[in-house]
Parts: sequence; structure tokens; C-alpha cells
Amino acid sequence: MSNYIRRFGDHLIIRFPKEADHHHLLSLSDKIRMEFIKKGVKNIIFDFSDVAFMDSSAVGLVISKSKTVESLGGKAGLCCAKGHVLKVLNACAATGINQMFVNVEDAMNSFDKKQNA
Amino acid sequence: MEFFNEMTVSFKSLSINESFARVTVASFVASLDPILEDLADIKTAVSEAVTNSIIHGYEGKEGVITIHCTITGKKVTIQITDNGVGIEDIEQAKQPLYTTKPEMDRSGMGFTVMETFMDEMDVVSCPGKGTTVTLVKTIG
Repeated sequence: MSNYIRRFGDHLIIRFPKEADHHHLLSLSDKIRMEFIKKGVKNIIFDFSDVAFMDSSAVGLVISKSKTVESLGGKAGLCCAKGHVLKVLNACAATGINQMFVNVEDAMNSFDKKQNA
Repeated sequence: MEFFNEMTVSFKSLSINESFARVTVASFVASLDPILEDLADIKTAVSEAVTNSIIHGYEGKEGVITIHCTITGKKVTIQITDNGVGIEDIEQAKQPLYTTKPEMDRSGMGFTVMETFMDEMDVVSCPGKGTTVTLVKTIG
């Protein structure tokens, strides 16, 4: 598994790299797809804690993978987005279509509560 | 007399040069002592334009991208030029979420981001010949 991908139960956590541009995200999409193929992934959480720079390439990845997860009955969320990252997400209207959380744990708890409700 | 500065840089259309392009333009603009937010905005817009040239202009094939920057007073003008396939319908390309490369997880928001983060954006293109994106921002 990539350094940027972790599994907690049926949650897949994607921790974006410091520079989240087209070049640095080139192989991440395929690695995420492999995790879906392995099965057991229900929800996906995008963690922006480490991101110092981001452009719409990261948003494209978020939109694409969120759609995949949601088509399988799961949920997608964004967390730890602030400053410049939040500005890019807002410009792409990504904050309107994805749930925003303060941190990964909040996202996982929220998704678990909804599942068990 | 108004301050004037100018620079031109050309590089291969390799994705690894996206970061180089951002940093080069940011370094050039630094002489105006911009606030961090303005610098981040400019870097993001440049990154979008360069990425468009690599993915759409040259479609991953080898080419050259040229960035020409001028500073006139507090106004920064950045032109990003490629000699790639060009854009058939510029207005369609500028539509939010429109992309010819959805299989590459592209958001189709590149031009929207450039327009949002810069004061002015202009696109000139000739199919089969290439594209020039002009970005303008006034600092301070």
C-alpha cells in the first residue's frame, strides 16, 4: 500500500502529499483503484493535513473517487482543509458536494454512526 | 518612472516541471513583496495553465512550454504558451467541469480556478498550432 493510503475497517483514508498537483498525484489514482478492487472499502476520506500546495488536479481525484464510492453505496468526506487548500476547494465547488470534517477520526465516526443508524 | 521587469523561461512539457514553473514565476514576482495569499494564487493559476499544456496541449507527448512574465508597476502579466494541438472551442473549454480527459480524473475546473485566482485571464488558441494563456494580477 502507498504511504498516502491507509485502511481503517471499511474506511479508505487518502492523505494527500505536500504538493498535490498533477505530477505528484500521477500514480495515486491507480493505487486507490487497486484498493477498491481488493474489496471491503465502503467509505473514502481525503486528508489534506500535509498539503502546502494544491491545484484542481487534486479536486479531480476527489470528485472521481467520491463518485465511485457513492455509486457503491458508500460515503466520501474531506478533512483538515484550511487556508489555500480550502480556497481551491471552494473555487471548484468541491466543498458543496463533499462533507467536510475537522479530522479523520470525526469523519470515520460520522460515517460509522450513519451506517449503524 | 514605473518599475519594469521581464523574464522568459522555456522547459520540456514534463509533469515534473509543473513545480519548477510555479516556483520560477513565484521567485520572479517576489520582487513586488506580495502577501502569501497573492503568491499562492499566482502559483495555482500558473500550475493550472502549465498542466493544461502538458495534458491537453501536448497530450503527454514531448513539447516545449514557454512562460513569459512582465512586471509593470504592481501589475504582473504571465503568458503560458505551448505549440500543442490547440483548442477547438475555447468557450466550451472554459465551462466548469468540462474536460476532454475524464479518464485521467481531471476536474475540468482549470480555467475556472485561473479566472478565480487572477484578476484577468485570456485564452488565445489555434487548432493544430497551440495555445497561449495570459494571466494578470495586480499586487497590493
